[in-house]
Amino acid sequence: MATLNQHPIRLNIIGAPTVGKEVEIRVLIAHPMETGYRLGVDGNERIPKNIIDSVVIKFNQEPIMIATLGTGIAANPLISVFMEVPAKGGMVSVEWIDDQGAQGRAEKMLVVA
Amino acid sequence: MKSIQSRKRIILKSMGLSLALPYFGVSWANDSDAQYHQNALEQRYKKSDAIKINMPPLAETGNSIPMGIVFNTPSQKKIQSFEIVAPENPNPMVLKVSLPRPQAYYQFATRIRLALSQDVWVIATLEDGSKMAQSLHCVVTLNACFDAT
Repeated sequence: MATLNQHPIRLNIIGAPTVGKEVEIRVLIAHPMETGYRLGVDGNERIPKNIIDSVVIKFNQEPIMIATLGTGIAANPLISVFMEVPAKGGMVSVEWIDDQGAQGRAEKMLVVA
Repeated sequence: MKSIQSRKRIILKSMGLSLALPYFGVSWANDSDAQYHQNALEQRYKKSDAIKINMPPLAETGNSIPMGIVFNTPSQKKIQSFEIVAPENPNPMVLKVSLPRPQAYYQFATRIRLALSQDVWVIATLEDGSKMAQSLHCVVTLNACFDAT
């Protein structure tokens, strides 16, 4: 279980939250996303693979996007999705889990203007 | 007597190795990867204008390339899931996204790694099971750290 300091996560809602219009939900996770192909400092051993397996974005506990990541996603993965603002606001939350079992979670309230 | 036995063993071992090597050679490129080869993708999928990929045509480094995708499918055809495929990467499957609520218009953005200059593919699966795809070539001047460098 990772602490918050090891893998800080940033969840932002960008755009005016007007009903019927789209807002951007941007997730930035601080994670090395090790591919397993790189050699360590001594040049003998490979750094073990450690990538984020899945990222789930939920709105009011209901998943709106389920992503399965591979080694082709850059370090410190950024995921940005657009969502139509519903009549009532709600809680946007993100959950992720990596190969070594570390996981993280963040949530933010979407308040309708 | 011992020397004959040891020779036998050597011969048997070498035979075993020669039989095993092609096996490992085949297993290295398994079926799941073969379906993502550039030629296979071109034969399999028809390109559609409903998908637009926003990506720099020339990237300084393959470690982090911004990539945006806009899906704007014809009416009554909603996107259920999509995947990003980089055929020349050691693991071609870059990202798989499934949408619990299928949508006709969808925007997505992320940052990807590319091992070589290549065509990056986006393959979308619609609600009725049909597929549509689009690709964009990206030239990478410095490859991502997929190798041992």
